[in-house]
Amino acid sequence: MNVQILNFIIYQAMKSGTPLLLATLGEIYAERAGILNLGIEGMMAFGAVVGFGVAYTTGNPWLGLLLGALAGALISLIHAFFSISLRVNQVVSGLALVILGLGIHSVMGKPYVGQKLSNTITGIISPSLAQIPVVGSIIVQDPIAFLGLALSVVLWYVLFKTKYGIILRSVGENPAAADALGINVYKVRYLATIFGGLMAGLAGAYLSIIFRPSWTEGITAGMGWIAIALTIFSLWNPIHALWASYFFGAISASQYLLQGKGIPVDILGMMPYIFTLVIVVIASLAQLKKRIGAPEALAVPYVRGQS
Amino acid sequence: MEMRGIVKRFPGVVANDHIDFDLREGEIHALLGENGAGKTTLMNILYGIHQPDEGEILIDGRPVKLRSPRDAIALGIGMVHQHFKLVEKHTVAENVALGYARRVFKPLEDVKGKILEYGERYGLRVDPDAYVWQLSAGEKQRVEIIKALFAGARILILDEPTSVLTPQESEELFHIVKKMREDGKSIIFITHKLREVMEVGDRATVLRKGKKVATLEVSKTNPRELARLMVGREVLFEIERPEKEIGEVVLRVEDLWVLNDKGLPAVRGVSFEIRKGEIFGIAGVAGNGQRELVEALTGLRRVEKGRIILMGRDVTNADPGTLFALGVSHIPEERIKMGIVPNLTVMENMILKMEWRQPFRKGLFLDFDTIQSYSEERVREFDIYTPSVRVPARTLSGGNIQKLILAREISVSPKVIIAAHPTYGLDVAATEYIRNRLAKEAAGGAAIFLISEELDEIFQLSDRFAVMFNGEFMGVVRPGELTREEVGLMMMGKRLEEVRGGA
Amino acid sequence: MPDGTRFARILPYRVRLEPRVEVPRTFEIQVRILAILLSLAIMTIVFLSLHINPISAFKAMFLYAFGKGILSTLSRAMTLVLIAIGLSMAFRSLFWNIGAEGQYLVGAITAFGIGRLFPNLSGYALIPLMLLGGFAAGALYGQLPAILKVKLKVNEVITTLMLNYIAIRLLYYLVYGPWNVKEVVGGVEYTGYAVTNNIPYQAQLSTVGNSTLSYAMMGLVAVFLIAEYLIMERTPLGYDFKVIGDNPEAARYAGMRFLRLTMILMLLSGGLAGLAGAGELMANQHRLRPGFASGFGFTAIIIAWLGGTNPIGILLAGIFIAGIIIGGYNFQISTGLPVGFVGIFQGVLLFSVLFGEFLRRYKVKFERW
Repeated sequence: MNVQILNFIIYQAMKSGTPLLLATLGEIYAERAGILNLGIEGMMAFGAVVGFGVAYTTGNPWLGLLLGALAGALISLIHAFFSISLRVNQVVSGLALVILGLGIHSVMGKPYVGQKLSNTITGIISPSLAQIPVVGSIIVQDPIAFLGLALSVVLWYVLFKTKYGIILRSVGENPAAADALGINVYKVRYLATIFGGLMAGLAGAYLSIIFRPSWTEGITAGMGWIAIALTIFSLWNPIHALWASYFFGAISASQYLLQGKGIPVDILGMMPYIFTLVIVVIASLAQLKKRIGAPEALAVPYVRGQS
Repeated sequence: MEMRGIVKRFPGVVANDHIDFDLREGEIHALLGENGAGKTTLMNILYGIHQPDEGEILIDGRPVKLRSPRDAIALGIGMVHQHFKLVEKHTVAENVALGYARRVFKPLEDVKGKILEYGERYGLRVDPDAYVWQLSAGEKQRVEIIKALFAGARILILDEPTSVLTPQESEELFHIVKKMREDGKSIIFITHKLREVMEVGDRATVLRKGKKVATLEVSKTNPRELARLMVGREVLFEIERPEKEIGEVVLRVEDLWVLNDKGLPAVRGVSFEIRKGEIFGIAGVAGNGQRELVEALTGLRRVEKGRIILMGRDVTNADPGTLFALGVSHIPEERIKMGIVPNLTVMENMILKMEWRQPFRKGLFLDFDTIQSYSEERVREFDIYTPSVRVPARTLSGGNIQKLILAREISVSPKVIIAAHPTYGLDVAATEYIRNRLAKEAAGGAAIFLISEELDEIFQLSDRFAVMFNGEFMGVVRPGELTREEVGLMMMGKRLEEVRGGA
Repeated sequence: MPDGTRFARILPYRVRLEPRVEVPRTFEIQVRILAILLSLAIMTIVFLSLHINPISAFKAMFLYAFGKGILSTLSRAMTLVLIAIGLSMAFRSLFWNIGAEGQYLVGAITAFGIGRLFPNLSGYALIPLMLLGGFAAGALYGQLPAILKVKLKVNEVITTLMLNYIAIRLLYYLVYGPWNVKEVVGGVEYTGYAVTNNIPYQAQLSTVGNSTLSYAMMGLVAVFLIAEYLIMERTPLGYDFKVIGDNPEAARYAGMRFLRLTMILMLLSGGLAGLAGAGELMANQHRLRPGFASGFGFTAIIIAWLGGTNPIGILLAGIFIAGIIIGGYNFQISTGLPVGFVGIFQGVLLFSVLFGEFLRRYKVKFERW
């Protein structure tokens, strides 16, 4: 196969896969703590519009990314409050967040319709960084993609090899056990949810600033939901999320490759969603077989005194 | 440690009614009472899980406020709960590290050493790298005790610790507890088993219906007095055993093999028969396959090998609906989780499994008049305490919920009743009622399969019983054929022949 | 019994949550009205902070929606309520059918296809055929998630959602492709636009005056509201659904056949959404276009949640939310502000309803430390 095509696919896979990866990593942490956050789509949308707005007005794309991430964290607080403190149904709360987030995205984005970013992050000029073998070219070309890669490893390590990881996972498996040992279950869940929002916001900002630096309403296009599917598929493990997201990115990207070959555009457009269906089914089969599953206390509000 | 004037109210009930309770250093103090007397609530308050509505707590003479388990742990109070608070998917070390690891990186190294040390010192042996789901109940309990020790507990609260142990494991526990007392630790032992109080307690406090009845020196009392204080009247340890005839075989099980949730065999080649009018009991510590056996018999779990034959008909792997239609009733172990639909009304619960049948259904629709009158009759007959049949079932107390389930399952004149721990957690009145009722049903011709952890119950009710260990029957005997100790040996894995042979 | 204690340090007081045991009927209604008022209050704050006069905003929305535009509001409400009836049943059985959007589209597509296949069939035959086809299509489209959930424990939120997106793509494909409009208007061929031909004239449902409110849809809504009530409250089928929704373990214990029940459930839920799609096509839109669905499936979720288990509640909730939507269009026209506000309003409303549910379930107590 042509090396150029291969490079292209890898590049596209990383580009398409990075927002998915970021959102998925965040959701993995939230779900590991026991909180089901279906609102990713809304958090990404909010992060996208805030990020674009900030990058556009200040001319600083980095600031846009930062504030977009913070926007996601902010809006996730709503879901956190309703799910953790008010103990409402987490499915509905997440949906409400999506509706709200998309609405805000549409309203706040109106002034930017048709606008393009003059400054975006196409790469960092840093010959020293570029020297680093293998990842060097990635860091330089797309630092956020590199961030995604690095975060996967770091988050995996924290989750499975540190004290905080044990605490997080225990809160999601058996909050009563953690509570009986003096751990503040509510605090851990709040932090995990906000982290999820931060990552989703960053993913959204990435989409509107780097992936396509001109304002497109609805740029998230269901990616938030795919992230939820990927969370399940990666069996709540950041390393699996890494290759699954990139693989998914490759599938998405190959849509465009196949376009000229006689398959109608819209039928091709079904591919990511059909693929998601397939992976979710596979994940369920794997769970049944291997008896690995979701965190036991996922989506169950914690009440002290009820075992 | 002193608790003065503790009051705790929950919606509809006063769980603790002005209770005083004190603990001396280096003593084992038993907290005694029936189920529902308020013992666990009182200790949950001591451990910071609940807040008292009134009253105060003093430690070393100083008043303290226990707002959460964190505060309790900081003050040297540790609790081992009846229902273990362990993360099954994690290892022992991870469970301990959850509360007590000091370092952020490589947190497990911190705790592993000490786990082994405690093992040596007190006899709490357990493998730090084992996954909790792999452990036996006794081992899990040791992990819980280790967790409390890690907290530097001076006061240790044990909530019904022997409910999941064999007699021999209980003895080991008593040794462990006495060793800790020598070390200067003070232990509160919650139980409703009089034997244990006499065996291991220094003092005993009896609670009844939320109030403290008495505090006594154990050396100066006896089980009869304690029982009387617990219940308020002379306790009948006898039930009525009406005259009955035992008829033909109703249920036959042949070489049954059933897997547990982990895919390992939980029931390994079990065979038995039950006859009409007979009560067949299963004794044994929980976790030896009883649950899986019940689930296989009631259609809730797959049978891998072997057969179940109901009145000549092969019903292996039939679904619960079919079994019910064929006359098999099931009184489930988890009465609230499985046995009722909490937000549906009492009358709707009364016809569960029968909603498609006439006369409850007329044509396409449910006939609520019939359903109501049927339910009201059952409520009267079974003495179920409820303001009306139209209230949600969750408003009923535990004993009444069980009576509801009993009413529902028995009133269809079943051929076979499968009763799993039917009196678990109930007060004496409800327990007596249910045991008498089961005996009566057997006299009326039902075949009853009874699983219970209370050996007393098995001895009282069964015509024959089997001891189950590690998925197999160690033997089938009549009550009275063997002593308790001999049965205890079987529960630990000795077969009938070995026990009889005086092994 | 559980002590719902929650330790929040708000000033020197501690907040405690006590689960309520009994909830009187009137309280249920009060809580919903409170939710609506709360959402209005929040929207007022939103408008104020954006220098929009809330009074004129609400006037532009509601006065129009329930005044001049009442027929449009009702028309929109009929479609949404039909979907919401099906969703309400699904939710009560704990089946999270987020795929109403896709089922709706598939219903419309199928109805259109039938119209295309039999353009010369008489109205008496064609109309029921198309409606039935829409119902059947939606019912079938909902079966896959149902089967996957029961047999393989696959999360139905994701499966139904993905089917949404697939249905949308299918619509695009048909509209831009084989079903693209080809009409001759005044001697000029009209094709290539993002729309299809009209459905046959005899299939276009008759409406009240010049509006889009069709008698047929009103009839269907009335019929299915009553049917839903009867099924859920008065039949063994509804009984089974409620048991599954309240305690799935008990349903398993009782030997309920999950596969059969879930398939029937999604037959009804998906079918109603599909029927709504067919109805909307035949009464209102008359053609397929890419924007055919525009979030109806999600809006219906809000209606189902706001309306609760009561059919009258669903109807009123549907009318209210349809009012927000139609009012929103008017709002956009008269103030020039983006229609995305409708989305914000709906999101705020759903959160308010959730808050109301919280109040219904718990009593909030403040105590001194």
